[in-house]
Amino acid sequence: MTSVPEPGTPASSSQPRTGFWPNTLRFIARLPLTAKIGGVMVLLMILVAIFAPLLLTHDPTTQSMIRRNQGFSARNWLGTDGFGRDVYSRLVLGARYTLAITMTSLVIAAALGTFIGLAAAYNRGGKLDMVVVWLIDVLMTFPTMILGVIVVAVLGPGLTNVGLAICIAFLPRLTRMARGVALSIVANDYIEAARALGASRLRIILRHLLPNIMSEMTAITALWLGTGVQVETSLSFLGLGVQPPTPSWGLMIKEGIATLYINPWPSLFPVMAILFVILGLNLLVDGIQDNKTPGMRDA
Amino acid sequence: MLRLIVTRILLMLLAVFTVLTALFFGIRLGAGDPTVAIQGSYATAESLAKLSQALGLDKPLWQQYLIYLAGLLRGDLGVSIQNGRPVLQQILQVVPYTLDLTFWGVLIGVVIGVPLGFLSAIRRNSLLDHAIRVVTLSGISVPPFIMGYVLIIVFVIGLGLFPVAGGGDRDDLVSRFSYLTLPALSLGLIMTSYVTRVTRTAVLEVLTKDFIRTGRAKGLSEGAILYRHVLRLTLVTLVTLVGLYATITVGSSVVIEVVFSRPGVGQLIVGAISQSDYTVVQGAVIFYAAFVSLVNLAVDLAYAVIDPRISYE
Repeated sequence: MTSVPEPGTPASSSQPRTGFWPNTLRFIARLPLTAKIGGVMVLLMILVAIFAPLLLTHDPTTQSMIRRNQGFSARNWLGTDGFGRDVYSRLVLGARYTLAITMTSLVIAAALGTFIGLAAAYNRGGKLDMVVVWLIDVLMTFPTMILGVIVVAVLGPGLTNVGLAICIAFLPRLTRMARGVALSIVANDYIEAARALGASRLRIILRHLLPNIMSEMTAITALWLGTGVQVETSLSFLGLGVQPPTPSWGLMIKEGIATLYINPWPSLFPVMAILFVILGLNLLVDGIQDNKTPGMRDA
Repeated sequence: MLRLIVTRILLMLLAVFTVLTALFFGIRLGAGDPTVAIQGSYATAESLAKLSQALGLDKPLWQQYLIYLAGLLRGDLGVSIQNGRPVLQQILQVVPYTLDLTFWGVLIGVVIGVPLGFLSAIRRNSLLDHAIRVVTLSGISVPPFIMGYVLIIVFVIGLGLFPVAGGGDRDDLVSRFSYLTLPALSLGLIMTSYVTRVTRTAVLEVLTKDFIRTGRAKGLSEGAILYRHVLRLTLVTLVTLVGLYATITVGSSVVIEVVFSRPGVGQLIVGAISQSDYTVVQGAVIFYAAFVSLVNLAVDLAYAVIDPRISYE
């Protein structure tokens, strides 16, 4: 008797169910407690960002000269800032800018980096590979933060440009990792076999290499999200990101520092929000990675 | 050894040259017009054109580029578009502040982080280890500018211990360090978190090796094992990471200088970007590239000293 069920026979009740949802649920259940807490924190913020317009109590950009630096009240839950704007509404809408900019640019950077890295790895030692490796080395001469500042210097500040800056700042790192992961897969026999069967270069890259590095690249990208939030909020704190009066957490802190002595709340809340998101992301990722690659994370 | 140094410096110059070229053309085609930044949006087209001519911005781009390159070869970074002062002089004036900040930030991180990492690894899974891991995970979650902000709230507004803004008098030791403490601590505490975590992992890896068991079996003291065997082996990893985090710290110094209104290259480049002061941005970028390249070179040379197996002959 074998314990492996015949194809077609229904799985016995003792056997765990497979499939996307059961697998995912089991994966989540197995995570350490800290990772679950981190996951809930991140999920909460994402929900706030998605439903931000429904959660507003005031227009976040309407100024009021007579209602400046108010304390907490039923009207302004978290008080008002130095321009008389509602801190709670600005905070809620700010979640949207920070999370949307960071996630979109990192996903784009990961997609681009994966494709370039794959093409370079498949072309190992060829001209394309040499150019890619050289460009990575050149861009990696700069810390992520400085690279972001340089890109904003070229493009000018603003919502799209700060997104592009984060994208370009992370591209060399993600490309290098994609290339590294792909190199180990290119060496496999089945790639050689596919080539022998006459598969085109694009087909091998998309059908054979890409699926094999997807999970690893997803994990690597997630690992960088916390750093991405750090770069986005730092750039907007420097005044190089989203421009006033648009609420963004970094900008709220920059403006709040001016009234720090008389009213620290307008800057304290975004500070707490930023720490909440990054800590949530790091707890989640740290639990998933379980400290396997501590040196990879940097700002 | 000499050959390595020369090759690395040539590669570094090529890298800086590539970025500078991209920056030169990118910033002139993409960013705002510096003549408008100087004269304001009400200036007449005629006076803008006149200023443009005086600054040499009316020449074709390739001509401006060649002029800039020729200047670079003579060690001349050009003059600031905004205030006409030589860029090199402006940068050299603030470089000591940035180097001071970065150096002390890294030093704090290494001096606290390495022993803490060792402690965490030796007492693995103890309460102390868990506490250190939670604190350092929180530490790496804090963006540098927020660390600076929190320190300002606690030590400047709350306790009134330190001056809030500026760089202090560099010749007066007391003034210099009273202005340096909080900014350096902001960078240092974050650096400490990274160094602790990495040291812990590196030490744990070495502690599982067979020769450690052999050492214990033949009756070596724990101290001898840690000092003679573990520390020696983790040194290569540590040097790599100190180099890496030193470059990250110089990146974070940009934000810290702005938070504390401290003079420095970061303060300079952020101001220059908002004023479209092309030449100053280029000069600051050269500084950062040179800093990172020199740190990387120093790390490579340190390998040869620490690890007898590595040789560049």
